[in-house]
Amino acid sequence: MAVSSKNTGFWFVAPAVSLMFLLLIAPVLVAAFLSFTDYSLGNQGFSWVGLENYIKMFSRSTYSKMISASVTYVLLVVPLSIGLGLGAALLINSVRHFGDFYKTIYFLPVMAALLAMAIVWEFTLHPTIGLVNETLADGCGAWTETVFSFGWIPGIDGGQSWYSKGCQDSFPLWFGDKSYSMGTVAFIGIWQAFGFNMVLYLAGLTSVPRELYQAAEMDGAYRAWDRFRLVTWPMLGPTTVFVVTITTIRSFQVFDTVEAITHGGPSKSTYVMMYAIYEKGIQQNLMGIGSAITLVFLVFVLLLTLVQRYFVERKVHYA
Amino acid sequence: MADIKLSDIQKSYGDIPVLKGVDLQIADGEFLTLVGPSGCGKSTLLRIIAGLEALDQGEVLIGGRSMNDVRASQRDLAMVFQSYALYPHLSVQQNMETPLRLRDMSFWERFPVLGHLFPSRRLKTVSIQEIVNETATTLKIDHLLERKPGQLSGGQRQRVALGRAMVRKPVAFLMDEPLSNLDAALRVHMRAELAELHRSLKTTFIYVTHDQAEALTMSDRMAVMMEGNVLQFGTPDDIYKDPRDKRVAAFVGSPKMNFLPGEIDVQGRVSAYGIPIHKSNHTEKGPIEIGVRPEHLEVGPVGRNANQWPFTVTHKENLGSDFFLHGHINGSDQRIVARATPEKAQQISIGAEIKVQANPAMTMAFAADNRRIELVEG
Ligand SMILES: Nc1ncnc2c1ncn2[C@@H]1O[C@H](COP(=O)(O)OP(=O)(O)O)[C@@H](O)[C@H]1O
Ligand SMILES: [Mg+2]
Repeated sequence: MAVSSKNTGFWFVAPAVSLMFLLLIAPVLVAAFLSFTDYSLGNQGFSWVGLENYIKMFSRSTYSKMISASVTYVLLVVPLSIGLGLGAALLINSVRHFGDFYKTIYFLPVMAALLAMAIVWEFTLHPTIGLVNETLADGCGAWTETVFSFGWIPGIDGGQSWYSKGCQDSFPLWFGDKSYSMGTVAFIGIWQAFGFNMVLYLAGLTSVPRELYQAAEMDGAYRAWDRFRLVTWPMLGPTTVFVVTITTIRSFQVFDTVEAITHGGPSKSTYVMMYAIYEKGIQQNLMGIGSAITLVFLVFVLLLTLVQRYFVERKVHYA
Repeated sequence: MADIKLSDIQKSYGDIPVLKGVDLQIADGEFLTLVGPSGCGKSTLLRIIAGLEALDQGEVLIGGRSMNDVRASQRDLAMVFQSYALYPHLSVQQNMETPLRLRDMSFWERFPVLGHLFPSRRLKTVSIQEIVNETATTLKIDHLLERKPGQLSGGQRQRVALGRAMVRKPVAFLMDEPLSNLDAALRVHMRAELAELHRSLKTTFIYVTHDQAEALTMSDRMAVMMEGNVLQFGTPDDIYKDPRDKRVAAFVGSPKMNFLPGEIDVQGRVSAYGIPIHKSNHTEKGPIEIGVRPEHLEVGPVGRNANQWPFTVTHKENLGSDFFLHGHINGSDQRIVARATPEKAQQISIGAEIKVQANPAMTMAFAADNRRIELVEG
């Protein structure tokens, strides 16, 4: 029984296609289907609720807080971790000695489990017994307060500074204060992500042709900034697109720190999407709304990928 | 414009000496070629002149001023790299504008976005574009100004690299094998164009190549380098006709010079393969090497002269205008090449036993230490 050669190709791709469908596409379709129902795990049946889950998402303040928490987190972590990663990569690339030492140090947070590190940071930033606030309190009245209250700069009232006020009243609660919680969670995210971005940038830097720097030097670019603008930054374009996409997607996915420390609080200030999916879908067993958030999340990621694919990639590959 | 003087340039990478004390004096407006086999240190010397490489010892003087503590960007030299090193994200126009923008615009005028707030920026942009357009017209690349380097052919990229070097009107052009990435026909064409460009610009060119034909055809003077030393420095004619060293004689000329085992006898008479060549030297004795270029080996039999070498033809190379006959003298296994006119070569078949004779006026002798030995008539 001969298979016509025209169809042979289909047989070759069939295993891959069916696995992809089973493992990737089918679950998304199921989630899409569930997002129009009120299904709960363990229930016998479910009823069709139409767009109700989505309407809830766009009308209730909980969900607008969720979106704003996720977007704030992304807007804090992405630029800062990329900026620091690029800066560290440039510095490490320019030193003659100890480059490997710095690489290892900065890469350590990437290798550590974020959940464990989150707990360490929780202790470090504990309002009363944490290392950070204790150190800050120890500095009160000493030279550290004099220096960091910036009263020595003409025109600045040292007594009104952040540090002096902290000494008079108390230092921040960090995770417990809603005006600090997002910043603190984002800080852990940056601390964790920047080593990864640094490694990607270091890899990107090795592929910049040395002759281009020499050409720039011959053209009169004697300032480091000119060489950066003329050679380094454009040649790192593809790396930057990749780093931005990866960091953005990973920031949208932040979960460990929120689950381990803040549980979305205080007053939903750190209620990020991934945590919302987990709380609604798993903890409260509201599969319908959980699926709806998941789909919105997917749309975000998809949009990002499309932007990367069709607008940015074309501009950074020069060949 | 200024003359360039190199004195006792030395450079090592680790323990390996790459330049072993190079002295050169390059006149203003001269086309100087640094030529030598791969790895002899030509690029290193050029990069030391440019300031891209630090030297261990010696001095680079441009217009009488020591450049040892002047960085590359301040030496007012322009360089054309072997890989062209164009900025891939910039158009041809922007590539050519770069050196002028860096020289003429202040840091803040070049700053992204903010720079546009300066009224002076507009004026400078106009004059920069004028220079770029003019240069592009000279090099016949004005129709390519909007393209990116990735959309250009090798020859076009080469012109853009040349244009980027030209716009600033530098003190001297440094070129590191600029033609080596082009195909053979274009390379020959560009040789002529570069020489013409040099004549019209009247600026010093320092040109690095491993191709002796480029050096012979283009330069006013050439420096033959080997193993970190300049062996001979002179006009192409001088170097071809009067090499002072066996390695120079072997390197310059194609096909390369034949070297025959010879000797100087007690009376000072010179012979090769046992046959006198009617030249003598009265200070040296013993075994030497006789150098004869293929065009100075006459293919015979030539008259009734007995002083001719028996020559077995093993291969004929047809170049159209000339034939090169490869073969052996006296049955030795050393390959000898002789030039013949097509008419003469037609009568000679492969395997033929013929006679060849060296033109005595064009025969050179070299000592075992590569030194040239002077010969006199007789
Ligand atoms: N950066 C470097 N580090 C170590 N060795 C080098 C370096 N650059 C060149 N060399 C060595 O110096 C010698 C001369 O190199 P180069 O000047 O590039 O020769 P060429 O005459 O072919 O241009 C070569 O043997 C090369 O291996
Ligand atoms: Mg070289």
